Amino acid sequence: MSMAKDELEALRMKQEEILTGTTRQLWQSIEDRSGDWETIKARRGKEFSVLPIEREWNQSDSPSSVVVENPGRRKFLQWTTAASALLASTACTRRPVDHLVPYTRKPEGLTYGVPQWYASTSASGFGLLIKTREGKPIKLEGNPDHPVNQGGLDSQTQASLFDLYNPDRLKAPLNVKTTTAITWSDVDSEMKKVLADAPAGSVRVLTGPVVSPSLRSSLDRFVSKSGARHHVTENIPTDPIAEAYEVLSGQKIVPTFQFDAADVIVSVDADFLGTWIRPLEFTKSFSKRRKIHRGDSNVNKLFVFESVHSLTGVAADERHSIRPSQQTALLMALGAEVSARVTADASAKSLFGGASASQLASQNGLDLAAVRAAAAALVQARGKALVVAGGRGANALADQILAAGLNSILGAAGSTLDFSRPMILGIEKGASYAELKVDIEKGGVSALIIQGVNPVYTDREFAGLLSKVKAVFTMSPELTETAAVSSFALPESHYLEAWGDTEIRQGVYSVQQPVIEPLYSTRSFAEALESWSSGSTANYRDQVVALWKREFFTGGDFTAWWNDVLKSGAVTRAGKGSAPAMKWAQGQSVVSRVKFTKPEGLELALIPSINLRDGSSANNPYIQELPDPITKITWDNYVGVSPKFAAKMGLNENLIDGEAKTKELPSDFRSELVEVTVNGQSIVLPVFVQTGLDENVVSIQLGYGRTSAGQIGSGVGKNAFVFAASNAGQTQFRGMSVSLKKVSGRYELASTQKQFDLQGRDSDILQQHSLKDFLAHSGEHKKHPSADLYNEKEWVYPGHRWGMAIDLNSCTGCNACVVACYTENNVSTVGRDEVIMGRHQAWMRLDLYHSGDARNPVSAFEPMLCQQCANAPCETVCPVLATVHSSDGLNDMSYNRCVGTRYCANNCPYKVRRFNWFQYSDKLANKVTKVDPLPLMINPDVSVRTRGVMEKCTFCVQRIRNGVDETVQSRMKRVPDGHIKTACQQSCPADAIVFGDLNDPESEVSKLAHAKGGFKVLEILNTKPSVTYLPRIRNRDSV
Amino acid sequence: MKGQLVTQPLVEGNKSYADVNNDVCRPLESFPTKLWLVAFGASATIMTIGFGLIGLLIFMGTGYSGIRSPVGWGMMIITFVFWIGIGHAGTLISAILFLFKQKWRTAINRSAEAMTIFAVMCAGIFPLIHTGRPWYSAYWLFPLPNTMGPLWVNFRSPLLWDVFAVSTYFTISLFFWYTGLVPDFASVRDRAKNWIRKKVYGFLSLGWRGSSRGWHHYEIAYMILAGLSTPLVLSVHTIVSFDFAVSIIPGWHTTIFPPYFVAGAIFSGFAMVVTLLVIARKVFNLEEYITVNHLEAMNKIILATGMIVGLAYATEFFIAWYSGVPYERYIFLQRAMGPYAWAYWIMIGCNVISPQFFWFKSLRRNIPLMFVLSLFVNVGMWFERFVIVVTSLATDYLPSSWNYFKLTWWDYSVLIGSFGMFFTLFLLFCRFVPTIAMAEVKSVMPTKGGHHG
Amino acid sequence: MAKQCVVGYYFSPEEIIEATAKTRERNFANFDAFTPFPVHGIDQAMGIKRSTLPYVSFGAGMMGFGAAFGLQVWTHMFNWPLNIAGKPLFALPAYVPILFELTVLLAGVTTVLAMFGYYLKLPNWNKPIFHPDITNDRFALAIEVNSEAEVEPVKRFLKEIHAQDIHHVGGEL
Repeated sequence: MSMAKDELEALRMKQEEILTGTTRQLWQSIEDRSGDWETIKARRGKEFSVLPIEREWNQSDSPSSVVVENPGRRKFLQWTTAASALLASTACTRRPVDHLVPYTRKPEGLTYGVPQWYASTSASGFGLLIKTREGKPIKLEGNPDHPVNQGGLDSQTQASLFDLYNPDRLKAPLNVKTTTAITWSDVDSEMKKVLADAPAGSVRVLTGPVVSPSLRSSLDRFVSKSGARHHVTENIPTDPIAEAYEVLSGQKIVPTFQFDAADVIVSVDADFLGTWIRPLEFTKSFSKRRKIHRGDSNVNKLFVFESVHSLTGVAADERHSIRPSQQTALLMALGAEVSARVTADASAKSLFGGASASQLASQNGLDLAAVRAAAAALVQARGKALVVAGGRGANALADQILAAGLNSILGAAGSTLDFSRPMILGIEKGASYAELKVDIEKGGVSALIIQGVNPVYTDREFAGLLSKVKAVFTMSPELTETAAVSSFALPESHYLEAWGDTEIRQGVYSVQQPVIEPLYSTRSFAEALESWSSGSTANYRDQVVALWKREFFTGGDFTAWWNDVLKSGAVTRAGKGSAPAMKWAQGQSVVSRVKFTKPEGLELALIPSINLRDGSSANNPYIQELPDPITKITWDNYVGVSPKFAAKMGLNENLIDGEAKTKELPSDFRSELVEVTVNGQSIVLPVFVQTGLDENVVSIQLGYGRTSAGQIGSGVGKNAFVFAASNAGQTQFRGMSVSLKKVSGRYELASTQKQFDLQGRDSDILQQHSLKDFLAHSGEHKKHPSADLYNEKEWVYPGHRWGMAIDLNSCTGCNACVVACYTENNVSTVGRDEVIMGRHQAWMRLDLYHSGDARNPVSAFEPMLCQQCANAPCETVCPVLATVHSSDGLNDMSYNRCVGTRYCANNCPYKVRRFNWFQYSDKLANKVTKVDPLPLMINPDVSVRTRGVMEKCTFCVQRIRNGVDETVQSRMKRVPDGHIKTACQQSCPADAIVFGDLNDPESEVSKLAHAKGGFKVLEILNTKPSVTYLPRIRNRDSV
Repeated sequence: MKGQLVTQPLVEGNKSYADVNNDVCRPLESFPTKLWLVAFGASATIMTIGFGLIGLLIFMGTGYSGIRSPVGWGMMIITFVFWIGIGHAGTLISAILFLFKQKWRTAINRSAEAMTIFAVMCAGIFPLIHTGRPWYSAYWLFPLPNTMGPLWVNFRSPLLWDVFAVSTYFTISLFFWYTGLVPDFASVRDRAKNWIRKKVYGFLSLGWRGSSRGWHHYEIAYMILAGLSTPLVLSVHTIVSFDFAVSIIPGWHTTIFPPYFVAGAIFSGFAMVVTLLVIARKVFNLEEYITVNHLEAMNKIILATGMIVGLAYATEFFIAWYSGVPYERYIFLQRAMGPYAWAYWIMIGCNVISPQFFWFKSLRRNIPLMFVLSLFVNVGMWFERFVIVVTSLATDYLPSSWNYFKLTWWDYSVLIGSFGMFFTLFLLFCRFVPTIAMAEVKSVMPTKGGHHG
Repeated sequence: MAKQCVVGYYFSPEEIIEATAKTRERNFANFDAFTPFPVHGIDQAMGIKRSTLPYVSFGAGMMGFGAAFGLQVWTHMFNWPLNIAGKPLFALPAYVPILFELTVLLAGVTTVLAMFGYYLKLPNWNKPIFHPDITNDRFALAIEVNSEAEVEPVKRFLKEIHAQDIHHVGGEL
């Protein structure tokens, strides 16, 4: 109705306008012009729309609600202003700051994607080359210029890269009592207070070995300033060699063992290739004399008398199992035999005066023939002979004195024993641990600073003692057992984060420079001491530089010299030592106290785990998953027993039986559990039947059973330190009488090799010869007729053809190559359960084979990796061509093409292909998710494999490509021999691995590929591997 | 009647043509029996659980299965070969017996072919989930043109041959089966009371009218398909056996595998047919069509193929010894005396010993016995594949990498799941498809004017 | 004038064969027999020429063979030559399985499709179904006629040859 009215109205207006002739000339809108009055009227006075909020007010029926009819211009402006004001105010909120650092100003000498190398030194004192990418250390390699390790690097040090990124590191100082994180200044003030309050002489510092001159000086400064007393100890004490020489000469000295100068070596329970003092150094020098395949037929001869099968035992030419309690008698008998054959050096002979080998042998059940053979060989090589003893038996000190005597009779001094440059173990200075315990017991200790050792873990009494100390400051990378019961846990910097230096051989000084800022609020021990003694928190670099300038600088331009030092990593100065004058009578008095009794009952031998050593790196999955070289067991320790004993005790001989151990594979790998008891202390462990043990010896590895190591290391294995006895002031590890009791239940040990017998396939898989045969024969080893269906000319390798030669005679099975491969190629650790499932991911593994009698087996290692076969069985069967041959002879594997049929792995006769059954790369040990900073450890040059793809060794193809690029850039025709080193080759302390171009007749590898006796594994299959193995040669008349 | 295996009438109880339709179509037109419902419910549930576990595998990782280094193939390949083998009997009956004019096949070929198709479907799942990345292997294994530069598949790989063989086998079997079904669908259409069935079967029958001119082409086509399927069925298991024979693993690398595998396949296939028909003929009371004569004829084939398989086992051992290859010898000693001896002797017991009962006519015609024996044979044939796949891989060239293979709960569950799938499909078939080729049966039935055809 | 079919029924294969033979002599323009199952001998009786289907199958098979050979040789030798285990690029023995499979695949699939689609002109759901029992137990003889006028004589003829319940329906045969 109203509508109609409006229309009428509009019409009338129009008529009016027309009649009165007042037609509008000016119009404001189309509607206005066309005279659409409806719209115009509707819009009149509504230029500003009602704001949404007002509309809500209008709708809301609460009495207080403002009803806005027509907002109008002012209102509109008000709202707009308010809105923009609010908007502006939000801009003030603070956003979290992300540090993204594009190299707008590129650090000097850094090219994106090109690694930078730094020379430095490991905590253990070995020379390092540290590979960093964009500021992250990603790989540790041995420094070839370092006089001690000369390029090789042991598995522990290589794996210690992980300790830098270890997610369980202490990230800030911790007040343990209140479990609150504190700052370093708190710690400093706390320390000041403690030092002030402490009565004189009641402050003690307990450290591990101190091999760093700069740390030594800081320590001395702190000690003198605070009137504290310094005690030194080791988690696993070294054999009392220094003590022995102290007894004999008054000098606490450990001569450097020159294995490379020795023609004949006799080792009595000294596993110098595995765990004894400094295996890396010894492997280097020892293997120098095993290079028969490189033309040096003057190979050494190694006699080993040991109570537990060790790497040294595997390397031995003559190996004999003994009982720990026979060590001293054996040395005695050896001495008697030797002195009977030698005229000179009467005084040293006095040690063995009156002893008769045959009598000792009959009395102690020794193998007289073996002793005589060893003695004869030693005497024959007099002046080039060396006797080493170890194993910390009941008479550790006497053993070392006897060894010293033997060496002196054999004229070792100056040839195989270097007194001019003695080893520095870092335990020479400082009061003893025993004294500290006594003082604490007496209540004479109010403050204790602990660093570098974990006594609560290694010494079952120590935790109790600590309660008697008011303030305990423990410095350690993670919250160790000791730190957990201290007052303050102080985070220690990783050696890659701190300045320092070492001197592990007298006159060999090696600098340690940081390659990364400390990831957390940590200090090095030296820094901490400095701040406590002088209150200075200045960069410790200055201290180191000052010291070096003062002590080792010989004049000239210091800056230039210092830069050279940083480049080369080490300097050598004249050795100060000299062979001390021996008073054998004093030694005689010690030896005379030894009682030789017929060994009886079961004896325990505690041995440091070849991988974990003292257990300080227990949280390191690379170490935990590293198979024990001898038993191939990971992630556990166990009671090693001999097959005979197992049979006697009715334990299941799970892998090998008493005689020849040619059993086929058992279907059940679970071991029985036994309760091991040594004077009151007892733990339950699974049994493992192993080779190279006397029937009356059981062995347990140390370094396991950490309770406070971290997410990975805690609760792995059992702590065997509880069995360590103390005997005449010396810790005893072997020869304690032990009893075993079978308990119910079974436990499966995660082993990576289950069959150690070659099943008579020696000639195809692992060839061994006696030196006599090898030298006698032309060397034409058993060749298999190889008929080829294909035209071999069809595939030629025009440029390079990469190949490898592995010298089984040098390989000691030290595992260095395995860890090198893990860290270089981002190989995943999979954890105990997956290892049990047989899903160990190692690309490079060390196969171990025994033959002969299980008590004294003849054993040999065989590193096994992808053989890069020319006729690779894996390539034919891959349906998607994920693995094919490259033009330079590599067996390429493209992970992103792989669909995971696993046909290649089946068809690989060497079984070197590894499958990602789960998303391993996201986790450590398939258990701990990789959180920051762990991803920083990944080598960006190697793709990280996803779930469901196959992976394998590629001869470090990333290094090959890089090396080829470099030669191309430097305008060279071919890659010079030795320019490219695979990770395993670089790390090998024994130089057993040689890599190079087979097309270059001059290259070392192609020479070795045609060397006498060289063979290919499973040559009968005509797979044409690129890896040549050089046979194991035993320096004896028959294998 | 010449060239005929049995002289007794092929259909008993002198039926008329109409009776055939009535009897065969009854299960389709009546409400499902309790027995059927229970059986279907059970197998469908098992199938569902099986697929759930497969999902778990695909989302979490292949590691749930017991496969480990060095045994890269386990349950999934074993079961794949097992099901493919089962399939072979169907094609054999429908194609080879057709070419040999074995008229007695008409009663059983329909269900045998159905069994083939379902078995191949079950088999097809396994190679896929066995791969590490099924989401890729689902199509990367085919030579598809792509934009990644030249990127093709490896025609040298037996696994690729498998892909082609199995997919061809499945397609051809399906076409063969459907061709046979068209006239019968028409029968169902024409007797249908309710309109839904009329529509559905009408659609499926493609408007078949039974024109003689049509029958002419139809029979030619059927002959050609039979001719093609015969070499195909032999090729499929031959190629499956290449997966092993072409590799270099001791115990696999043997030329005896193709005939040995084909014989084994037919052996297990016929056993499965017997298992199924003994049940089906009872449940859908088709005893007059699937007579004891039929079952006996199949038992004879089981006996024959069983002997061939036994001979193959013996030959393997002889050759292993005769070759003088230590690896070969070791593997076979392992099989018989090693840690897997239990599996080996189950295999021998089921595959070589149990068929010997069929030497006796009375036992050949003894239905409960043949049912039990057919189950034995199927178990035995699964273990044959287990023995072949596992033992050779577990202890091959390098003793250092030897390991003992164990199946996990996952493996067992998925094996059972695949049976669930198989029976689900077969039960659906019994419900909705004429289980006997009516047209073909009629063509071999006696008529007023005496026996025709 | 719409086409029509005159249909008569028989109850045994023999009868229908006889009938078709007679029908053939009268050479009608178009006639056909409808049977529940292939009645052997009826082809000759009706004088059906042998099907050309086998040639189609053979051709398809050859295509499959050619495709398989081409694909394998081209990808391995020309498009993407790779060193696979040092084996020759032209690996004929390795190609055999796929040559065979693709031959069979194409031949088989084509046979079925051609048989239904080309020769039987199926699917076609619109043709008349003279009696539901044709797919059961009846044998029908249908003769196509062009005009109303022809229906009666044809019916008479069918009666002569003993066809039963004769009737006629509209539409082509």
